[in-house]
Amino acid sequence: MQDQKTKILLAPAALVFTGLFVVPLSYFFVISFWRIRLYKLVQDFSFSNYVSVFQEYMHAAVFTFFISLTIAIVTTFLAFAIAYLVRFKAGRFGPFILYIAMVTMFGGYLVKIYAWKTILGTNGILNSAMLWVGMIDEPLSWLLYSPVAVVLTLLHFLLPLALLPLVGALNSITDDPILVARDLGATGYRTLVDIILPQCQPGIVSAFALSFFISAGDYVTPRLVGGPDTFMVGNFIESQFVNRLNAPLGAALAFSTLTICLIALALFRILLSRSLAPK
Amino acid sequence: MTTKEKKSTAGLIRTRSYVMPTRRGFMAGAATTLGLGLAGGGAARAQTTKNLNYLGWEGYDSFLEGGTFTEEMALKLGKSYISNSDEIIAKLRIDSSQVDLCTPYFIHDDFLASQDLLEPLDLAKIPNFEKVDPIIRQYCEANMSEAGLWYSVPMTYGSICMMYNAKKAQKPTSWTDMLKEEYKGKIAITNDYPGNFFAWGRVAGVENPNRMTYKELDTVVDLLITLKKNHLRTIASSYGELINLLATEEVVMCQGWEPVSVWVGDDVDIRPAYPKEKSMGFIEGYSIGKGSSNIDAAHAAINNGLSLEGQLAGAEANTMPVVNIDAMPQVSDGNRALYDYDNIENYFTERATTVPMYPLESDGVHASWDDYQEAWERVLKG
Repeated sequence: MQDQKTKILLAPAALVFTGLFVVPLSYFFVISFWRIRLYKLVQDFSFSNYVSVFQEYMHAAVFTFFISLTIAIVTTFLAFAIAYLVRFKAGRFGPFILYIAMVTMFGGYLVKIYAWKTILGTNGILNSAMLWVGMIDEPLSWLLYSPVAVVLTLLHFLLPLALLPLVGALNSITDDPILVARDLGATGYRTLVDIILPQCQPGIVSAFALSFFISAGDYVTPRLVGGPDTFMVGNFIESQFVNRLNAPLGAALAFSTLTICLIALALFRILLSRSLAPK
Repeated sequence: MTTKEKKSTAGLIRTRSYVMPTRRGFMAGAATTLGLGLAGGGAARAQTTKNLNYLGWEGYDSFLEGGTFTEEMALKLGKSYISNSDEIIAKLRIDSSQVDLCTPYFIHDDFLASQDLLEPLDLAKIPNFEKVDPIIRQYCEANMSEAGLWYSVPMTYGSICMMYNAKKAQKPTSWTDMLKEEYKGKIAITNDYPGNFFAWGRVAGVENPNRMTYKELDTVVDLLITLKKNHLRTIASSYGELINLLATEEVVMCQGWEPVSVWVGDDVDIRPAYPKEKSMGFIEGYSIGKGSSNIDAAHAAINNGLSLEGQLAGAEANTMPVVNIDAMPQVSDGNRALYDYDNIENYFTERATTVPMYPLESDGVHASWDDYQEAWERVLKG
């Protein structure tokens, strides 16, 4: 009886998930084996799109992988530091810090991008300040329209998103095991590694996954603050769908990226789990 | 009140009716009500604003809405702006009947007509077409008409020329000025592959860059990769982005379009320049999607776009050139300074060149449209 009730309650969510996610994704998976001719879909079956992905877009995939990995690792690390501060160190200011972090989410994605353009530009705030204090003799042009700008902008955008699962994970850890560890003479570092981190593994994986997947699929940030050599896979997926109207190749690129991301996430999870396993 | 209540001595309530309900009476009443409803609905519809779906570049719609036309005709443009001219092809493919008005890329008109995605225009319903400058008509006819039928009518023109900051750079005379050492890292191009292939195709000595052989296309790709890797600050994703780059002086020279020099504002002195290899010229027009259910209204809107009021409204709103011969003497001084209306022929022979559509299929020697698009991706990846 309880099972049936659960199934009924899950049905709307399952329906939405199937209709809005599984079906469109399945459609794109099918057409990734089709081809386009004069802007018209031709229904045949071939792996040629996947061959093209590995022959022509591998460099973009590798670049995207490494830049997304960098963003995900730095974002997760910083988010953990802030979440740790909120949970253990900030006391009654903890919720206030969390509130401030969350408020930045309402700034909007494009606003953040343009804010960083203002900060990092040749005549921007950072260059002007460094020139003024005499740190540099001429503006640093590599701050903007470069991979550095992409990492900074996405880091700023993703930090509040990564913070939420980590705060949730750290809040679920009770004080008792931490106090016991300290009573038994554990240092702060050992408490963190042996007690806290293993218990908030799901939060770390969630924060990493969010940062990694969003970065890997982004095409607006590299377009607006990346330079001429910062084209990520998302830019080529967009180009296939919008410019060349080649949905089959675009879909093949998207599924290849998704597969690489899932493998990377699985590897991250295994590595994290092994490194935090009790010795 | 049509009934009166009267309490009978027996304590019953009797109802006296002044209108006896009969089946015939009921039917007549229902018919009257229905008739009044329909008449009322019709009146309401007559007062309702008609929606026209517009698909095209932001700013190109300003010609259509010039004067009091939209109020008088009770028309409202439902606008969908594009960020890439190829989007129009995609949306027409999905359902051309949903596109009442669009602004296809000049070189796509033939292709779209051949694919049965555009309505042939009834020029009798666009009397202002007669006011279009004959030179402009001459240069756009090959692209916009097919077998005597026009599928698009011109409303403005321009070229993908060079732009430069007059205080920070010398006036360029060639596209190769972008390769000068002093401008390294201060150059931008837009994500517009036809304009880029035209410019650098001409640099490579190709007469008609829209008819390049595979070898010529490879040479141009190499040139663009050299430009990108060694000289570009960035590839601007839009003209808005290009304006931002010029206004913040991130770049001092770029590939652009004449109105950009005004849109960027007065804080920086940005001017257009026409290189000796020439620029890719274009003549933009309005078209109607095949199967549109608002053909008459769409024709009327196009006619307004070519009218004196429409042309002046577009010119003043966006600093774009006009094509109506009556509007040319009436544009602002700033507009006239930017577009030399007395020498339009010279513009299309000395400064810019209009080009045909790319070959849809390769003949084994010349690159096809898809080859050009693939080549642009090679540039981005390079």
